[in-house]
Amino acid sequence: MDFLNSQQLTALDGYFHKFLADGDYRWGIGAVGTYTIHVKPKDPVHIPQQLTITLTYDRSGAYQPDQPQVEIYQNDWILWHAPNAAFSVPPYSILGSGSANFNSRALGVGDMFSHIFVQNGTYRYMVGGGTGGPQNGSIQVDPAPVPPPHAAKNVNVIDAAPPKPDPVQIVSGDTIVWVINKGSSFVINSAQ
Amino acid sequence: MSDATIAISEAGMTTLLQRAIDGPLAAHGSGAWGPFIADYDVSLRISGGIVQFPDPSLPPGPVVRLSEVVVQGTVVGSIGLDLARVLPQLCIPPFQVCVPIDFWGDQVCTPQYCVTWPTISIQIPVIVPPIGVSLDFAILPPYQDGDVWRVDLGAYPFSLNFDLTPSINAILDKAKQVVHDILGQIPLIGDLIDGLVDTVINGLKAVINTILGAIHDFIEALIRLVDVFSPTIHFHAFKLSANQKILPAGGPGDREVDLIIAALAAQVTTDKELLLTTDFA
Repeated sequence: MDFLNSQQLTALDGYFHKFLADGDYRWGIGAVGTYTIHVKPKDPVHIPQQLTITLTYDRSGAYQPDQPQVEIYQNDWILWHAPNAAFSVPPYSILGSGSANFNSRALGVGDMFSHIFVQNGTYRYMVGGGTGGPQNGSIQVDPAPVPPPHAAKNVNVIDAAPPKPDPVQIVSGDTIVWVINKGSSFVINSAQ
Repeated sequence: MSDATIAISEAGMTTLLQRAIDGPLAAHGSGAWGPFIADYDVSLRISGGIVQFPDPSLPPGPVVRLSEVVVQGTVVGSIGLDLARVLPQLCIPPFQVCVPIDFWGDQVCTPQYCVTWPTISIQIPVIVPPIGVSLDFAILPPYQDGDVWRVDLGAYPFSLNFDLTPSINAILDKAKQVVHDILGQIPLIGDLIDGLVDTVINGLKAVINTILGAIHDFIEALIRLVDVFSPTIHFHAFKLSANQKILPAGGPGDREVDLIIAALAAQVTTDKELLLTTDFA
């Protein structure tokens, strides 16, 4: 089964954050670091955009971002992704502080976690955090036809307390995204 | 009229030439070639040979024929193949997908995982089996080199034939192994892209077959780089001291008697001999 854990991101995962407040942020990998995000006040004519920060695992044994300093508008998204990281390298997490903190290890409002499912089977997982205790979810991954289909659009919204993830059915190669609309400190990982 | 002559028979010349050519020949180098980075190491051994003096009354051409020379050895090519230049890009999902996030009224685009193809290094040992070669030589004008006169032979180039088919199979096997190993790093990915692997390998095979002839030419060029039998390379057939001691010193007042060779000429006679004629100073 795939390794499914929002606290330990791999090449198959993505961590998104929507910046709801303007200001200056500092962020890092594994801990708040020296990389910066400058969020300009909301512009009425600006349509929210997504910026991708690509992480590369280098020979020194650390992840490096392709854009250490970025500038966006309020309500824009940033996606952190390590598309070329081998599966033998350590997983990573993203932490930031500023007008509002963000933490891929404890998902809150404006956060989103995505995972590409490559193995068939039934995934049982838990959504921990928020209020009301951990809740179980399940994803049925069926074999993909050859050639693989275009990725299905599957969004699992967590917007209630307690969170109630919907059961979904997909094929291998599809991506599931979990959107946090309410609550805080959510963790998504495989159930034992 | 010369002052002295030296006659060398075919048997004597055979011994001299065998000594001249016997030994290892090596060359090493590297370079970029299309999608390949090539590194080569050539090691050949030349031995044997029987000399014949063609009739000098025949039309001008080689005057010494060395037959039954044996050439053998190895050519080890290390080929670095950049798979990213050969294989198609493989991404899951095949292209980026964007999904609407209704709560926020906008959309996000989910990431892809793309396989990174590496450069692989493949050793291609080419065994050059014992090959019987006949070589024709011209006798070059003798020349003085310090204290000695040298008689050199200039040879005409020859060609080698060899079979690269086993090496091509080795390339394909290695490439298949690397592709499977890389795809195997993706956790239990078999169900998803097993079918694509065959497509990838078939694509690679087509490329390899296309350049098969070029690889053959490349290896052949490497062997030619040794250039051992180039007419520009002279074999030292033998040497003769320029200072010939005729009488040793007999004691006080009776000094050694030497003759200095001022000129030396070489030619093959109708008696099948190499005749050296000298003029003393």
